[in-house]
Amino acid sequence: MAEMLTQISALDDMIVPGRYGRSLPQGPGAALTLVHPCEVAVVIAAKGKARALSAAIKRDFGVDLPGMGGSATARSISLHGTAPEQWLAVAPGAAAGSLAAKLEKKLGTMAMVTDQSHGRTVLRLEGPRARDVLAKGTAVDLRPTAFKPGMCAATQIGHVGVLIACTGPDSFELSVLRSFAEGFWQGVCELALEWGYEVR
Amino acid sequence: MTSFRFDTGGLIDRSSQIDFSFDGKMLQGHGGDTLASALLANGQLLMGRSFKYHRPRSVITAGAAEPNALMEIGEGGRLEPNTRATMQEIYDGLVAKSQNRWPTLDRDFGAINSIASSFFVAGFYYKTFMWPKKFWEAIYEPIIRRAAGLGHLSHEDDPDRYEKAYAHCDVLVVGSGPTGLMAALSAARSGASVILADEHAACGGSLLREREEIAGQPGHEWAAETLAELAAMTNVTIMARTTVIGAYDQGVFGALERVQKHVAVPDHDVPVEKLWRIMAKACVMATGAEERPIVFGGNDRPGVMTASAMRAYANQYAVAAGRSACVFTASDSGYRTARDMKAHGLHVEAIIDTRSDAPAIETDGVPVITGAVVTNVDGGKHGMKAIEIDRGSGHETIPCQSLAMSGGWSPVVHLACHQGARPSWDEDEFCFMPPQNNPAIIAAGSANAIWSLGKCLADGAARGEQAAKLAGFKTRKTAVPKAKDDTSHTSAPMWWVKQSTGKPFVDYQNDVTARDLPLAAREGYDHIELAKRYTTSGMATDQGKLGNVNAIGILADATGKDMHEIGTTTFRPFYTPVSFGALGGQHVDEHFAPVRMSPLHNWAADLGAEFVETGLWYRSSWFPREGDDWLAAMTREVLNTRAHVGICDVSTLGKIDIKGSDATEFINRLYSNAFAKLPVGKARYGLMLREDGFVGDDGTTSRLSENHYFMTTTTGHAAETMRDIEFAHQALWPDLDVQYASVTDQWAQMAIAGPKARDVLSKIVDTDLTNDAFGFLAARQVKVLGSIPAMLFRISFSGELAYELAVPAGYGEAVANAIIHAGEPYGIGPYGLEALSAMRIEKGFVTHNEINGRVTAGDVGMGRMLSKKKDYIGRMMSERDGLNDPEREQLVGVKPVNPANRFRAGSHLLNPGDKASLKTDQGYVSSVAYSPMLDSWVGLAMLKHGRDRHGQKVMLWDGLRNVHMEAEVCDPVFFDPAQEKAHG
Repeated sequence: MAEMLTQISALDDMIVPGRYGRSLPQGPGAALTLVHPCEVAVVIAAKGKARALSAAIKRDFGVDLPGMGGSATARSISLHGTAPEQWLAVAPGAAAGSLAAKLEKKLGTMAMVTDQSHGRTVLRLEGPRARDVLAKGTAVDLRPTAFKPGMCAATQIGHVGVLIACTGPDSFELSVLRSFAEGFWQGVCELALEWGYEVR
Repeated sequence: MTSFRFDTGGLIDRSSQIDFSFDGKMLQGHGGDTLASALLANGQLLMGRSFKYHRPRSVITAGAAEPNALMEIGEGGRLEPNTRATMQEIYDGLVAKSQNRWPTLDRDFGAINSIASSFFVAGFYYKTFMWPKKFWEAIYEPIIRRAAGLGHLSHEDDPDRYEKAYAHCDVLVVGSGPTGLMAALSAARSGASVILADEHAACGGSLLREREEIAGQPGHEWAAETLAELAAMTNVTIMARTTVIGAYDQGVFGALERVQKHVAVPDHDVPVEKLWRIMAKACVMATGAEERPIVFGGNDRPGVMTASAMRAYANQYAVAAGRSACVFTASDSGYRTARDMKAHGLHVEAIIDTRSDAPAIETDGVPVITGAVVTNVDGGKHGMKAIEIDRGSGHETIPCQSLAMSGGWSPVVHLACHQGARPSWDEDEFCFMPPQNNPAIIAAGSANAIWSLGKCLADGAARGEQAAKLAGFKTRKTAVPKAKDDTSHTSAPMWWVKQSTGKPFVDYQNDVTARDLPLAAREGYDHIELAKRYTTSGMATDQGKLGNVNAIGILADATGKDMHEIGTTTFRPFYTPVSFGALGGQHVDEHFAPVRMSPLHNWAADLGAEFVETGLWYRSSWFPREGDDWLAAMTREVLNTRAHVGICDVSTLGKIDIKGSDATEFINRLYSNAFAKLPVGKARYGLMLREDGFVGDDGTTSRLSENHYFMTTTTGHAAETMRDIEFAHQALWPDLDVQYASVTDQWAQMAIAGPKARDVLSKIVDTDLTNDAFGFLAARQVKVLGSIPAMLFRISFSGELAYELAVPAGYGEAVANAIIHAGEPYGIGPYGLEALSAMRIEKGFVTHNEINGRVTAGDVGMGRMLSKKKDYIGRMMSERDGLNDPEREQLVGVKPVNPANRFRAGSHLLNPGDKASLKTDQGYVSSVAYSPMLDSWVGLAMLKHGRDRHGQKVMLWDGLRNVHMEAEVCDPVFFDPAQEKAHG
């Protein structure tokens, strides 16, 4: 019966695709997309197991486990270093419950894996003005020379904790706690008005 | 009025006509005009009235330091008082009003203050309005405020949007005059990222205002070319209309960008102001210098202004205050003004130079009177007629319509002083020099007392290189264009003209005269900080940008000290006023604080819930049916739950997933009660103490498997508890193998309570829920609706047979609806926070109303829970004598003798017959609810010796509402004390 149930996102009735804000000749400055469903898990190394964990990730996913502030993407899974020996694993579109289960199986007692697929809301923000939009909210240095693809930052926008991962020259993945998602969405939309934005 | 616009010249766009109004009069200006220059062009020399004496005033400056020409700009919610006309660009439809006048600028009633001015000397507030004390708030203060006042507010909501933003750069250059432009150029050429900020609408600083040439072309043309070169560089950001308002720790600068304060109807998608925080590795402070007025009789008369302002109005805006001019100067700046005004066709009558040894400087034929002073100005609201001068051989009069004054220059040192350093007096340059405590804030050009254009260009280039190097870049020498290098000479300034016959103003905005400062010194307020407060010199919106140095000089004179001994007052951010709109930014209305929504929010809303803010959360509070008020709804919800079954959203509880081989030991050290032997599949109530031994938080923790726990905290303390856990692990016991993560947002959690709870849940949970299989405090991972992973806990906060069910948040609504559906035959209904609260009070369960940070476990009747067999956080401190004093207040129940009498939490308890006092206080009521089961208002309270006083009478005293009520002390458990229902 669970197969019949749909996982409802925190922004269930908030997403109305279209163009918003100022209309500039060069087109919208940013595009916002809700990544849903999206599997998310917190991975925390067990005491003294960080090295073994790193080797296991390399073996099973083919990437180097990033340090704090770094991101690595292996096929459909991204790992973001959010704190010392702590990562946020993100897998857009994966089957419900599959990410935490897979990680738990592969990592065993090397790490604690906690499913956060329902606890986080993941957004994609991209476009020529994406950095300017974020710079209205966070003190992180977002200049292209300072915040490059493969980097992430745990910070705050509008007093709401957010993990910003740079996924391309002008694209970012934002993950926030589900309960804050609605206000966060409204806030980011407001910050993008100046250059116009598109909701996809 | 004598002011007018020249037929030609100026950097204004004469092809554009801009209509605006001043005090209801329709006027015209051109693109490039400020409100001040446009008013002068329209013959409107009179721009305001002064604060105390309501003297007619016009502009003194052409920039940010303007003390006089303050206006109310805009209408309705957009009205902004105290706007400096010298900084405000005009736009079509601009509505400006003068301030400090009643009923009109021309006929002002308050001007009578001027006649009574001998009563309004320094400190008059303190002297006059001392007695009677209560008159201050009721009578004096409102009258003074109405009479003085610096503009008005409309009290309407500002319709515009404001934002905050961050920027990062290697080199921040403040000021885009010749120094700033060269600094930006040399820093940018090294590859450093540069932000060039200027407070004016047009960049170029003095190059727009002077007639000087650079590399053979007019200065403003060179500025335009240089700006174009900078704009074309990808590593340069030019921010015009942006005032750098403060320098803070670690290279953080505040800046206010006026994005849309120069347009009639702002684009709502764009903020009108942006408050920037700029992080810079180095800063070139090319902020220039402020020309000092001279303090002499009538130096505030419309038509009197600084020499550089007169040049700026003539050269940049093609306006002048009058057709003829005199110059009163202690520096060479006055001579330049005389030449410029002559070049614009004005009749320049004379240069009056305070220096008897004045150097021979080109005057273009204007006569120079050396060793003389201006003692008074004949003029008023319609302009000037003449000046009175004294050359040591009696007074004489020179007719003129305007007067330029120059008392020397003061570097604009604010940014170098904002972190606490003070400037130091330089006896050679006669100015306060910027401190050099912070090597990353580099004063350049005239902000560092370098006066000639040629030297400023060279210094700018050098300082830009220095800043880029500091930021880690390799630099090459930047070629410096040629400009005139005339030496500038100032002789010892004259702080005030003692022979003045008119009022000599030191601080225009506060109407402080040269006579007020010696008075302050005589009355004991001779320290500069005291003199400032006593005389108000240097207060209000301009913070003494023009007057402070003169005030210091006069005080030095009066006390026989030197300038250095007197020193300056403290320089604090902001450099110029910042609107509250900008400080609030986007965080207004519903975005004032972040909003947290439960995953069952929409579910509850669909059922008609009313919500209440608890911290950041919006929680469903009660579910009204037609005609219900909260009390009726709550009563119905409680009765239905106790008789049948209810469902309540408890998703907001803090939830923490804890794993690791040392998880058991970790939890056992966090909680004060025993946890080491909690069996798998069981939940336990846990009490956490703070380090100081008082109760910190409570909740249940369940052991889901050998090394896997699920902890809950209260809603209000979830973040604090998580923080405490992080601290305990990271700092106290890093050796433990334990991992934990907040899962508050992952799970939707609902309480299903009531005699029929088991029947309802059995329909959707795949587990045997009989008492034998799933007894009181059972906790297990289960599946609901076939395959949804869930956690089920047999815990009760209502005293009923109850369960809490957690499902992944995205399935919350579906599961809650399934429970409602399954419960329909049993009469299920939702209940909210009000019913939850009433039921827990009926059961005597504590929340943070009781465990408010000042109570011990013993106080709330849980003293016996504290383990004697282990150590845990707070144990040592909980054993202190004071925390175990038998005199402490203890948790009890209270019932009013008349059950219909409502009383409130916060009421105090007194012994019958006692008057309320700290001495007689017996305790206080912490929680109150109407109990549907007892049909009475009931409360929990903290009472001295409370546990021994069950059955006794006390008085409830509510001083706020003036309520006195007789009540009976009882056991805090009002309902089902044997706990039969929860175990059923």
